[in-house]
Amino acid sequence: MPELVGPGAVHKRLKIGTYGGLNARCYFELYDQITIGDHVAVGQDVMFLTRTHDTSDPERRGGSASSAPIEVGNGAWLGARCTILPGVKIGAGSVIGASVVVAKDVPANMLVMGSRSISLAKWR
Amino acid sequence: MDRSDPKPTGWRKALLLLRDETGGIHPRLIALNIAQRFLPRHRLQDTRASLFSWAGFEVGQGTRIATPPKINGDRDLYSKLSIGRDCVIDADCVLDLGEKITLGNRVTLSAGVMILTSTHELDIREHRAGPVQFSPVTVGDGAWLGARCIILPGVTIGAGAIVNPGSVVNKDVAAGVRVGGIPATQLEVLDRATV
Repeated sequence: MPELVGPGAVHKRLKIGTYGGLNARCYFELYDQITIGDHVAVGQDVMFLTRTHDTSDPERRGGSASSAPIEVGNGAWLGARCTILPGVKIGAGSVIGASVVVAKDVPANMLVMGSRSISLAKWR
Repeated sequence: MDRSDPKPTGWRKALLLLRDETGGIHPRLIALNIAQRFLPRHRLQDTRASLFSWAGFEVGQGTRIATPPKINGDRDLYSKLSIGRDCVIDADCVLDLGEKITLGNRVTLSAGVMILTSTHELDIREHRAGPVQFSPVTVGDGAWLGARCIILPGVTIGAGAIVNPGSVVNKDVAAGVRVGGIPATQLEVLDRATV
């Protein structure tokens, strides 16, 4: 079962396309819109986080929360245990390796792997 | 465990085994976990924190706990966790209480943070994970640990520091800096923390 978290009508903020697949224990933090395209495969334990904090106060770095939407393009494949951070757009046909933290936008048809989330190769 | 000791036999072996097997059983923790099952996840966050303080953990006022963190540890479990005031503990955190974990005031733990306090001594080739070792973890006031980061045993995180999501922290972090990566390195100095 995926877990949907957030205030109010969370289901209205989650959009998943056709012919996709969600593996076990996905986590959607629906403080903002999460849009997943068609033919997207999402691995186990993938976390979509839409909430971040204002870090300007040194007394409390996890300050007031703000949110940003996440978009996953058609045909993308997210490996197990990925973490997708707020405001990230993953292009169509991109592949994210297991355990990657995606902090920046990923262009279309990229393979992203490794601990520093650098893109390794461009496919076709 | 002193490895030069002769292997215990007979009733001493049985007693040791019994102690070993029951060391991690904490009736109050079990009661706490049962009580938390009745609270919906991500709701009643203040109530959940109160339950923790009733169970015997030190939890400051205004602290919010989103979902039950996974807690495990042996003896004196309840004195090994100290959470300050106005902290936020998000979903599915793991707190390994082999040794003391101290969270300061206004600390934010994002979803899936794992704080470990037990590790192994490096042993012979045939059995690398040797005897278990414990060392405490301290998180300074106002720090923010990003989602799914892992804090290894013995680490002290300074006040007003930020740990980027997904990083693995194996060394101490100075106050008022941002660290990230595997293993975590200093990425930037934030404006000076008023400690």
